[in-house]
Amino acid sequence: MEEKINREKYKTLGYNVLTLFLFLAIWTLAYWLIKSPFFPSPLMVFNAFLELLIHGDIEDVKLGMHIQQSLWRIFGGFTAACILGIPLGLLMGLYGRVYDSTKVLIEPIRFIPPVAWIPLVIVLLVGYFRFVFIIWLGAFFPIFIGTLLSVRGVNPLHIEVPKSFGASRFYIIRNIVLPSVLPEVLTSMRVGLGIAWECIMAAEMIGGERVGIGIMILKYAQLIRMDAIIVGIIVIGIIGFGLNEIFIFVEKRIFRWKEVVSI
Amino acid sequence: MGSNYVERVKVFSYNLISLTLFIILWFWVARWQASPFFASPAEIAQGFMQMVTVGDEEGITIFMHLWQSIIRVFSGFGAACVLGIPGGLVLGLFPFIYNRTRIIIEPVRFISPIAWIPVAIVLLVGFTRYVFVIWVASFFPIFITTLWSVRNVNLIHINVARVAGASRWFVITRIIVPATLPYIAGGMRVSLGISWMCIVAAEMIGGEMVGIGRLILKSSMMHRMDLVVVGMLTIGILGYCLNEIFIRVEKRIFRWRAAVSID
Repeated sequence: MEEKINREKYKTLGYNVLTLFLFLAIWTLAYWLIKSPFFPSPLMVFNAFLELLIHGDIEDVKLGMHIQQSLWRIFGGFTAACILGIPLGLLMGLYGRVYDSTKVLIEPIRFIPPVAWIPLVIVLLVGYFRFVFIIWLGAFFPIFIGTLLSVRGVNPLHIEVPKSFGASRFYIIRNIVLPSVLPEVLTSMRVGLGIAWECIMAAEMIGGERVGIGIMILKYAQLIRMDAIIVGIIVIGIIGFGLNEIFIFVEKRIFRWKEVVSI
Repeated sequence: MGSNYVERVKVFSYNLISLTLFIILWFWVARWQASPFFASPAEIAQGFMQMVTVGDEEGITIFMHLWQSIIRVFSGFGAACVLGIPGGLVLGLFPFIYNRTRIIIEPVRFISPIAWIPVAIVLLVGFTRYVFVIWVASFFPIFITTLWSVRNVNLIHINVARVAGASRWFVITRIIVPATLPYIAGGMRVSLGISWMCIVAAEMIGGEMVGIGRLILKSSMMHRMDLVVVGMLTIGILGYCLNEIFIRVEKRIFRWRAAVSID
């Protein structure tokens, strides 16, 4: 049985590699057909990648540094979003009245895109906090709303039974509500992390600093060096994908019990 | 019925109270900051009146900005629906295609729409640029939810029909499509929200002078913070309204769902 699953895994992997090659082949073909200086071939993109990795960009900042800075910013914004979003979501989920009474404030703010905040952020904040604020805006609402909804979605039966046995409110929150919302909180954290990573471009558009993967793309956009821009785009895509996969792996590990329990 | 009505009035008035409190707080902070870049609610109301009656520096009223933006958003969203729903259905029905091309699809998902802007500027022209950037943002939520909903159709329903001798086509049109429709509608709502939030990113491309995102960018260049906030609030409120309308429509169309769901 295990051998069969393993074989299936290798097969999928092989097909994935095959599609990747096919994709690269089509790209090269398109490059030959279009023959535009603004449409680089995969080889040119790879060369630009090596150059960025080893020699650095026009200001001698290496790709590793860009990625490290961006990750550091994401970490700040994402942590702030978790620290504020999870407790607030739990509170507002437990006291539904608070959310219902402030809906008129919370909901429209949710739909203001992080990019639209940039002018205000430039005027009102400085330095690292600018990045953190923009990323926080992107990641806060998925985490907050996800936590809130998960608290509301706790099976009422699980709450009513201990209540009828005389459990205190605190006991119910700690032993029933918290464990049952944890998987969903983690999922919304994952979604929030993905959005935070997507916001890195918006955050780094603010300017000022010279290091960061989004800033690198913007720098090369001004020079119309498409190969380096595509390197940046691909790096963003792969890191976002990697973060997501790691999170899914951790989720599956921590909540192994969930699949066993669910009937 | 009567208590329901009372409850609604109560929630409404609480919302009104929190809105008033928020505006008073804002007045206070603006008073205390006393900065020309921190607009007070009164200045914003004035800015809004100016936008309605006179328009911005170029005499474009807020309605023209909004109208253009709405056309752009709905074109991008329409393109995302046209490609995402059938694409998701097909890849959901034939999971091996998704499993084998995952290596290309997944990283692309995590590239933020803003990162595509340099590429869109170089490779596309005019209206298609906006459509492309909004499409990139709104395609994946629709596509992924459709794909997952097809995979999560209750196997019992499919197998029963099969045992009774249903053809593949019958199973698809009579069981899979109806079962996935509510999820597809949910995915469409999420991605409409996202595409509306992308309007600022899309209109960053420049060239044209009309559009609600353009209004924010233009005003921020002139440090007219009141107009920036007017633009932000308009985006937030309209996004919220679109979402609410969509939820109402969803609830109406899928009335059967609440009654049907057993588990």
